[in-house]
Amino acid sequence: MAEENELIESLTQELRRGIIVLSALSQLFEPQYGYSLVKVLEEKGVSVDANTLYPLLRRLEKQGLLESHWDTRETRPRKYYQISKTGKNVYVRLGEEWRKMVKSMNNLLTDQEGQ
Amino acid sequence: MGLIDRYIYALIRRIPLKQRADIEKEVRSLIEDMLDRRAYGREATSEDIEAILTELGDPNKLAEQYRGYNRFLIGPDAFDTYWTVLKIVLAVIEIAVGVTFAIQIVVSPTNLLKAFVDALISGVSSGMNGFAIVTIIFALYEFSQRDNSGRAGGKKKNWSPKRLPDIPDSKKEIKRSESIIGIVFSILLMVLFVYSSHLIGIYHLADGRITQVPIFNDETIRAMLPLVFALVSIGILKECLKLVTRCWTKKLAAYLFVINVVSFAIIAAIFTNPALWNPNFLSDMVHAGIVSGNGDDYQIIKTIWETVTGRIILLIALGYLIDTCELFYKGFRK
Repeated sequence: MAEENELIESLTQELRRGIIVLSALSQLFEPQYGYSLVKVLEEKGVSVDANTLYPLLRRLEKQGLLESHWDTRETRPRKYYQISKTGKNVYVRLGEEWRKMVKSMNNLLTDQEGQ
Repeated sequence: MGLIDRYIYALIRRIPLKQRADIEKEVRSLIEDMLDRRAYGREATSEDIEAILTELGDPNKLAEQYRGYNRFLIGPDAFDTYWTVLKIVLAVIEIAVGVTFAIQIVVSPTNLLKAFVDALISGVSSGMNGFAIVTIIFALYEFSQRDNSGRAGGKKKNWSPKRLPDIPDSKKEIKRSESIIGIVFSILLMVLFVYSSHLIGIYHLADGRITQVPIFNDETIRAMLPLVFALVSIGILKECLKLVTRCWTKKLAAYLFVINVVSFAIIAAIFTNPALWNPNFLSDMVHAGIVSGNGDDYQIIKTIWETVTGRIILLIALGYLIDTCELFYKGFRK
């Protein structure tokens, strides 16, 4: 039984890995710094590890989907990320892909429920 | 905050230089945010610090995420090929050392122990050289395949069925054994020339002893060692090309032709040098009792020696010509 739980846990992780980028993009229309994004996503039910999200933000910036700036006004300097123009286009297209997938998945899963 | 500093240090070490300052700032502020949340309202304790560093995880893994690529010396794709090549090269080297040893003890059986120790030493050191060279070549290949964008797969081009190699036509197939024998032969030749060029000569059995008259001038051979190495490396390259391509193609024939031209140039440089030959060959022959001082046989040997040493380059040229014709024939016929 414990093995099964472990397996489920790891397969769920894989599912979660797939949605991280889209989730992050959806919340970055307002500038966020890394940790605030972690909290926002968590509140909305998508929990992502900080050690996954931080490098991801950097990569997305490198790929041109995000822009960043350092805010040094407060005592603690923070790097703020925000979605870029390219990022917004990508976000819209990805969102469409996602909705298509959800529809297909719902079909597939309801097939099984009839059994 | 010793633990945090140690964590940052361990992380930063594995980040490329340009990004270090930025990532350090970012991660420090992340850690402080996490600390704030955990120790809300109270002083942060060392247990808190330990807990969040545990949550952040192994700094090596985090650095890997930031880097976006795995730091393999030789990655999983290339590894199988690497391993195969390594095994072949090492086997070939050790066979060559073994054969040299065998020749050595046949010629001078008195020094068996020394010859054995020498063989052992050169076996180990040549083996290590071979290992290092193969590993370095494959590591360079792996490095060139890296793509820093963080996507898996990096610079690999898309595969398409057009890239499937043709099924080898049995007539045009190059047998692997041929190529391996070719490599063994080349390395043997090199070991012979490099370590024991004095062993190449005329052997004479008399009174139960074996005497030997070297054909080559040892000093000259030593001076030309780089050329010999180049020649042998080219020979091995040729066989490797055949091994990799596995069957005759026009492209292969073209490459081999170029290689032949280069190696002929080197060989010409070696064999047209009159200092290559043992200057005392004729008198050594007399000494060894193979020919008598003034007889007809001396004259005959003298003529043969002078003709051969003067003209062997023509023979070699002919050999190359034949080989080139053969490879064009094999490469271009249907």
